[in-house]
Amino acid sequence: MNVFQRLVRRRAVDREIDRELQFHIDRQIADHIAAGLSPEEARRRTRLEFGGIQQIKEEIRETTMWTPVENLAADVRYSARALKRSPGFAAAAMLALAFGSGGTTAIASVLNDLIVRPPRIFRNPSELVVAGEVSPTEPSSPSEVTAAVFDRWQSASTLRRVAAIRSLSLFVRIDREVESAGGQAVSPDLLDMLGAAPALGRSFSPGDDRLEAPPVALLSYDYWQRRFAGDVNVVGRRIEITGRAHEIIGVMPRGYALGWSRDGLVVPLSPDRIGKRDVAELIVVGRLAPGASIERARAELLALQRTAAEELPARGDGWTVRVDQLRGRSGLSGRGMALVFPLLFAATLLTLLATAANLAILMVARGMARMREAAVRAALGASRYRLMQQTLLEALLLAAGGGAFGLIVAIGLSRLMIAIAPGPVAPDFAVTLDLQTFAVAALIVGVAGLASGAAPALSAARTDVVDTLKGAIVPGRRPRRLHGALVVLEIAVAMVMLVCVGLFVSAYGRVLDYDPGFEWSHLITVRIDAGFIGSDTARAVNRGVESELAGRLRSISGVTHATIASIIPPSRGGESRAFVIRGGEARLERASARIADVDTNFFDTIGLKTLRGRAFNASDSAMSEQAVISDAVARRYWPSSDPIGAFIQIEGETRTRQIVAVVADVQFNASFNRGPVSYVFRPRSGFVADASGPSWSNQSYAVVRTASDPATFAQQIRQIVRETFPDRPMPAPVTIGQMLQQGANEMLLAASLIVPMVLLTLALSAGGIYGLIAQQALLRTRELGIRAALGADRRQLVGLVLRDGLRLAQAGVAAGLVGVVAINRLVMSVYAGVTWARPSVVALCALLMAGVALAASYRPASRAGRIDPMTALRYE
Amino acid sequence: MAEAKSDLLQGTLDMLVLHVTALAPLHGYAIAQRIQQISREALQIQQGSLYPALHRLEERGLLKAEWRESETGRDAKYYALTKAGKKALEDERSNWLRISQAITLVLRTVD
Repeated sequence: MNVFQRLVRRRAVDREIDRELQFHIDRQIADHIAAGLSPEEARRRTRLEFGGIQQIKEEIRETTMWTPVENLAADVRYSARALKRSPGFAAAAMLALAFGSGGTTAIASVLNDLIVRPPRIFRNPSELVVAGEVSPTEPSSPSEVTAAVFDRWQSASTLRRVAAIRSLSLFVRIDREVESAGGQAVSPDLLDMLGAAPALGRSFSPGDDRLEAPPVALLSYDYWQRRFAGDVNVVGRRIEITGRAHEIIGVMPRGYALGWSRDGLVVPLSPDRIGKRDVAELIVVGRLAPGASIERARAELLALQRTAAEELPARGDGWTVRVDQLRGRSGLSGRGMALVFPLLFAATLLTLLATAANLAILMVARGMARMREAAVRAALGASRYRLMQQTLLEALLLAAGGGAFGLIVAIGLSRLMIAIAPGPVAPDFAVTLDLQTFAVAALIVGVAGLASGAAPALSAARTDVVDTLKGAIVPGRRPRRLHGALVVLEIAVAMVMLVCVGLFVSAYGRVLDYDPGFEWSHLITVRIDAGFIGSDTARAVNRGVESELAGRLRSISGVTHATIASIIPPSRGGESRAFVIRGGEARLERASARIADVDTNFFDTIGLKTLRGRAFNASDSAMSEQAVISDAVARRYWPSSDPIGAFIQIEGETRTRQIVAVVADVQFNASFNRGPVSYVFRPRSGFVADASGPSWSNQSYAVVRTASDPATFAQQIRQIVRETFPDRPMPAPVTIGQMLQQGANEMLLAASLIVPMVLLTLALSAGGIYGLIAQQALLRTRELGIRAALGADRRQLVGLVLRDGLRLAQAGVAAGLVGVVAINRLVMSVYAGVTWARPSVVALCALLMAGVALAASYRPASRAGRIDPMTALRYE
Repeated sequence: MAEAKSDLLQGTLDMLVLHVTALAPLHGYAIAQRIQQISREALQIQQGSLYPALHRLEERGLLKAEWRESETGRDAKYYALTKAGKKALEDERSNWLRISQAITLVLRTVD
């Protein structure tokens, strides 16, 4: 009979033993009767002689081989019963487990899919990299790549293949309707290089990027779903893109979201779409050659970039190259989320730590509470091994229950986070639960639970049975020291988290109350989308019509100003472009700034002060050879001299411009980063064909200043724009106030990820700290009783317990401060000059934690004050 | 633990059980009765020890059990010695005799 059969046959065997014993009993009774006893007496005697039937059965079971398994089953039942007897403990432990493992999993899963992991649809994603050029003025945000550099990168040996993506803003005519659509022009072999197959139809063929090739297009998955309702017959249809008929040949794979403007159409990157050779507009994605490292690729790409210098005469020195792992949905998060990522990771880790600590606390507390029970069982013959096993089983049961619940929490929480996350999360975004993280989280928490469960079990096993039963459980210094350490850990973790939240809140507050540097409250703006314009002449014509629009907008009553600009502050718009300074004293210096094309009345309209010189004057015939710079540019490149009158040459232009004015800084504000934007303003009118236009989108903004609430003008503005451009799509006008709010929303996304986690940790920690301190006071009941018996009064007893809590709070806050300083270092290393840990926030958090600790000690303390020496001493 | 509670020396109950079942298959009650009879009531067999011992011996393959009609007409579980049991009995018996002689010798010398 093997173990399994025995288990199955358990009942049958049980019955057989019953029958066998019953036979014996009956025979014995019969013999006693035969010997002359009355039936009652015979039965009584037999019962005495025989002893406990259950005990015999138990021993039979123990003597035969199947007992280990049997014992286990019994222990599981016993543990389950024990847990049922203390539902509070079981619920608390399982909740801690569930939220610890589930919460971390949810956050890790969302993060993973959003910013950490490369899209799964790509083959060997770890080989994929994103390469960018980095300007000396904005080293933390790599820019796109110029076509001149991209050409040279194609010969790189460290990259097996390279492809480029250029974002476009397109007009599409589908069945007579003109609409604007996002779009990308991509190298024909992009999908091939990524190793992803189109969701429908075919991808581009090698020659599709030639000018004379028949025009073809792919649809993005979302666009296909939304605009064509996922119609599979869409392949082969013809639509008009920028005035030219294109055949739809397929649909991009689901989950493809590289670069920007990815929702819409994808066309081959033909020479007419690649843009100016010296303007950085390409996102370059590559696959590392076998054995090549990112470092080596960077070195090679840098060397290749240098060879393009003569093709980029206006570009300054100091431009470098950055190569990053392709990460996140956009593929670009390896660059930008540098700060948020380690923070979230740290927060996740801390949550996990707090959870593990809490579970440990619960288990230790329970273990101590059950020492007497353990002693009783030991006295009754339970082996130490069995006692240990019992505790471990309990922990395992809890882990299983908590883990199962944790999965549910993980699913629910990740959905919730996606649902409440504003902005950048695309509709096709579905979180795949990161089971690996779940396993790791559950393991960490489970091991913590087991280890902490084992500690009291071990000591229970070692307990002197007699002493314990006599009631002399005197926990030594060890559990108290462990308690203390746990309290300190909890407080420290909670404090670091609190500081993080505090900073988020204050950063959020700054988003709301910051001063962008101009008078924004009465501004409303509308984007005018010219779509893709191939030639400079067409662009010049377009600018003329846009200026007419500004005139018509000015005629609305209640409108004081209207202007057209290529940027709309405070969004950090405008591409970063290099320029050369030709100083009066034959100085030649290379520099870079964001380029903005504005009308002459732009500065008046948005209320940006002119600090020095005189901004563009419409009557000045030389205006097209002038430039206005922002104060940030002036401070950087003319720290001790006057920039007015200096000459600069902007990348992509052949002419030289003279600086005529310095205007106040526009402050941008993005998450934790804020500061002045370096702008070089060019006049829009007097624009001639030798200047390259704004970047990929050919978007401009009509900016309108109103006398009253700007939002009430939206309808009229919309009407006029529609009349001026009947064949263009029409976005809704937004006020600058609304745009600022959007910036705040980005902040909210980060907050929506971090804050729930922090609150969870705080709740867990507060509970844990309370429980621990209460427990500590309980451990001292006997001591307090003695003190009370010796005449200590209520105040002294309360003070004793409170002081205990306060001491732990101090240690915890001190440890927390160390953590805060460490995080501060991390932040400073990522973003130089960002003040992160504000003393006021940190101090507030420290006070709060001390408050929690004190509040937690208050109840035990007041109980200690009421202690009755007699009860206390007897109780022990 | 079964042995510890027994009045008999560890292992001796097993030997006695094997001995009495060597003559004919017996049920538990009869085994207890027989041992008491033979020892002239000197050895009281505890049921709490007997049955675990029977099951252990069965488990070790020294006894084989079978349900059959007893002398009272009721089914009882009869234990019979197996071949292995027979051999074990021989071993135990010679072992026991050797040890008990040795012990007697020792006790005499000390006397």
